[in-house]
Amino acid sequence: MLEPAQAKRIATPPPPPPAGPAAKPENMLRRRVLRVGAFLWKWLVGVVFCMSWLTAFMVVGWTYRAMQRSAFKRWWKSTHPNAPSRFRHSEWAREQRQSHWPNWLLGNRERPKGPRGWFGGIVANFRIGFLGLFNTTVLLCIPCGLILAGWHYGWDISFNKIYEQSTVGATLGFSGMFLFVAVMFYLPMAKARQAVSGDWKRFYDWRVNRRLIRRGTGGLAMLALAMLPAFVVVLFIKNTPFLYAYNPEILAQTTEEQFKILESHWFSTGFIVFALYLLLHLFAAHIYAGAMRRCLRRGELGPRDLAPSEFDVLDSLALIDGGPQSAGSPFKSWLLSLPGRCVCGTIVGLSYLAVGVMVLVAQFFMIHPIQGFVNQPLLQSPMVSYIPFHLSGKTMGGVFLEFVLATVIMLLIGIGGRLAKTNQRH
Amino acid sequence: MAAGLKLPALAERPSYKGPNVVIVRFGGGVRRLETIHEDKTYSPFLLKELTKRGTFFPRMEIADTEDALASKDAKAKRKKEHELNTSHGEGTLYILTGTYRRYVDVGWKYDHIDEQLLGARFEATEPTLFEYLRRQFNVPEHQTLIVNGEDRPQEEFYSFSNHHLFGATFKSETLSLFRYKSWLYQRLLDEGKLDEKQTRKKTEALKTMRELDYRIAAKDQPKEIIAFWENWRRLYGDNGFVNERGDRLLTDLALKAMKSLQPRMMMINYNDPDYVHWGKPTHYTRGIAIIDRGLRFLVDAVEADPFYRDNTVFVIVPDCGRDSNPFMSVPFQHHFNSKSSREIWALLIGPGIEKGVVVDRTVQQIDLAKTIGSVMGFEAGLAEGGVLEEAIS
Repeated sequence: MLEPAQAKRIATPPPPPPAGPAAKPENMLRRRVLRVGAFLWKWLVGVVFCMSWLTAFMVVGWTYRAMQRSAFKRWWKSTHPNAPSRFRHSEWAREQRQSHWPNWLLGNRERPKGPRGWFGGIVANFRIGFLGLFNTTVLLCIPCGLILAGWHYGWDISFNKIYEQSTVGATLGFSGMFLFVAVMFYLPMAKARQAVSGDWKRFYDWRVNRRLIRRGTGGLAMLALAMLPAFVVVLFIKNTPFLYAYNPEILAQTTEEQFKILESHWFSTGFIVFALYLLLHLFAAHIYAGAMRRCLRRGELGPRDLAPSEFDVLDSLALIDGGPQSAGSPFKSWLLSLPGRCVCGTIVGLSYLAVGVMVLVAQFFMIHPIQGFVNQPLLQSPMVSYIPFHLSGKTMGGVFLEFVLATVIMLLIGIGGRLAKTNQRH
Repeated sequence: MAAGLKLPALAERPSYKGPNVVIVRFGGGVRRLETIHEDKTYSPFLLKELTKRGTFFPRMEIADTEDALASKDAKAKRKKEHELNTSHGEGTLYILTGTYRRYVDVGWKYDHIDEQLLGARFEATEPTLFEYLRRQFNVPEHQTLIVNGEDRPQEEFYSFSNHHLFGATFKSETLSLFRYKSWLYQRLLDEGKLDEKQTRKKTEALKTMRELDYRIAAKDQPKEIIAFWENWRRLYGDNGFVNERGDRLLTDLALKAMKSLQPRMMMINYNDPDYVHWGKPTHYTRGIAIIDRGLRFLVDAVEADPFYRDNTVFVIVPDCGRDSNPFMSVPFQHHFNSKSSREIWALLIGPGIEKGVVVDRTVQQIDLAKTIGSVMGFEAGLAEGGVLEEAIS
C-alpha cells in the first residue's frame, strides 16, 4: 500500500540529457580497454564464486543486481529512444546508482565512504543472493524432492522386482515433473520481480506476478525455448568427466592430480555456465520490464500494486501509466491474445518438461547424487563444481555446514543492518 | 568339411558320462575390487571359501590382446581394444563360443525384424558350448539349460548359433520367467477361463513375446520343460508375485532344474549388479552379495545331490568388469569398454580341477570354452582361445 506522499506523479517526462563534449580518441580507447578489463574481471570473479556453495550465493545476488540494472535500462531506453548518450552516462542512471554493472566486492561507484562502501558489494550480493535462492528453493524443493524420491524409489522397485508397488515410484516421479513444470510457469517472472524490485516479498505477490506473466507469455515462451539449448550445453558439460574413463594417462594420475584435473575442468567450463546463467536471467528481467509496462498501460496494474522501489523508479521515468504506446506488430498483438497466450503456454510447458527429461537422461549417463536432482545451475544455485567426495575429501556434512554458515552470515548481515538503522535514528 | 567337425548321425552319438558343468555368469558386470579383493569383497563365500577348492584366475581379461599388444601406437592400441564391446550379451557369447566378435542386434541385420534401440538380440556365428556338447553326445535338449532373468528376453537368443554345422538342432533350452509366461499365457488361453478383456491382453502379450524371440516362436518346449513349468505353476501360481524375484529367482530356477531336469550343462546368467547403471551403488553391492549367496545354495545343492555330488564342475566368471572412473561420484556406474571393464577373473572347481591353485598370469575369457570342452570331453573346434592347462589336473 503506497503512502500518499509516494503517489505524486510527474506530469511530463524528463527532458533528454544534453550531449556532452566530444571525447578524445585516446580517452575513448582507454575507457574501452578499462571497460573490457572490468568485464573480464567480473566474469572471472563470477566463475570463481561458482566453485562453491557458499560463494555461489554471491553469484545469485550479483546476477539479481544485474537484472535490476537491465530492467531499469529497458525502461529508461523506452522513454529516451533518441538519447544521444548511453544509459550508463545518463544522470538518471547515476541517480539510481546503476551507471555500471554491479561490483562483486566493493559498493557501487556512488558508494559512501568507509566500511559500508568498501564491503557494500559483498554484503549486497550475499544478502540478495541468499534471499533469492531461498525463495527459489521454496518453490522448487518439493518438485525436485519428488523427482529425486521417484528416481530412488522407482529403481529400488526395479531392483527388488516389487512390482506390486510399481505405481509408487512412477507417481512420485510424474508428480514431481508435473509440479516442476507448473512452478516454471511462475518462477522466472517471480525471480525477475524480486530482483528488480529489490523486495523479496514481491516473489510471493501471486496476484501481480500472475498478471505480469499473462502480459509476458511471449517472452517467457522464448525464455523457455532458450533454456533448451542452454540445458543441453550445461548437461553435456556436467557429463564430460565420464569420458575420462577412456584415458589411461589420466586414470594413472594420483588422487591429488585427478582432483586438480577435475577442478580445472569445472573452472574452465564455468565460464560457459556462468555466462548462460547470467544471460538467461537478464533475459527474464527484460521480459519482466516489458510486461510491467504493458500491465500499467492497460490499467491491469496500478500504483498501489507496485513495490515502493518499483513505484519510485517508474514514476521518475513517467511510466506509471505505462508510458507512450510503442508501435506494436500484429504478431505481438496476437501473442497477447488468448490464443497466443495458449500457444505460448504450451511452448513453456513442453519446454520445461523437456528440460526435466533431459536432466534425468543426463543422470543416467553420469549420476550426480542428490545435487543432480535438487539443484540445476541455470535455475537455482549456479554452483558448478561437481567434484566427487572421494576426490575432494568433502562430506555431505561439510556441504551442509556451508549452508549453515551462509545462514549465519545472513543473520549477521540482518543484525548489522538493524544496528546501522538504529544508530542512524539516534 | 574340417576334420573333427563331421556330423555324426544323431542315433550314433554316445551317451554322456563326463562331469556335469555349471557355468555361473557372475554378472552383469562386476569389478575385481568388489568381488575378489581381500578387504573390499562383497562375495566372501566365493573369495574366502570357494577359491580354496579350485583353480583361481584373478587376472582374466576381455581383450584382443595379440593385435593390441603388437601395436606400439597407444592410440591404435586403445582403438583396437575398444572394438571389443564389454557388456552382458557379448560376455556371455565370448564364454559360450570361445571367440571375440562384435555383435549387433538382429534388428539391424535383417530387414524383416524391427530394430531395437540398444538391442542385444545377438546371433552367435560360432557354436556355443551346448551345441558342441549335444553334437558330440546324446544329451537331450532339456539337459542343457540357460537360466535367464525375467527382464532380459534378449538373452533367449543365446541358446544356439546360426553356424551351418550346428544351430537349432543342438540348441539348449532356456528357463526364465519370460519362457514361463509364454507357456502360461498360451495355457490360460487354451483353458478358456479368461474373460474377453483378459483374453485380449494375454493374446497381445503373447504376440509381443513371440516377436521378441522370433526364432522359436512356433516351436513347443520339450515335454520335460512343460512339466517343469506345470510344477512351477502349481507352486507359485499365475500372478508372478509369489515366486522369488531378481537374481534369487535364477537360483531358485537352477535348484529346481537340478532336481527335476538334471542338466548336464547349465549356465546361470546372474545380472542384478547391473542396476547400478541408474546410479545407486547399493544395487551393485547388494547384487554381488545376492549372487554370492546363490553360489552357496548351488554348491550345497550339488553336494547334497547324488547325481551332482563329486561329479560337477563349477565355472564362475563375470560377463565383464565395470568402469573405474574416479571423476564420477559412482565410479563403476557403467561398463563401456574401459580398461577396468575388461578386467575380470574366473574360478573353476570340481573333479578334475586342481585345488587351491592361483594362476597369476593374464588369461582370456575366451579360453574358458576350450577348457570346458577339455573337461567334458568334446573339442570346441571353432573356439579361438586356448585351454587353461593349469586348471586341469
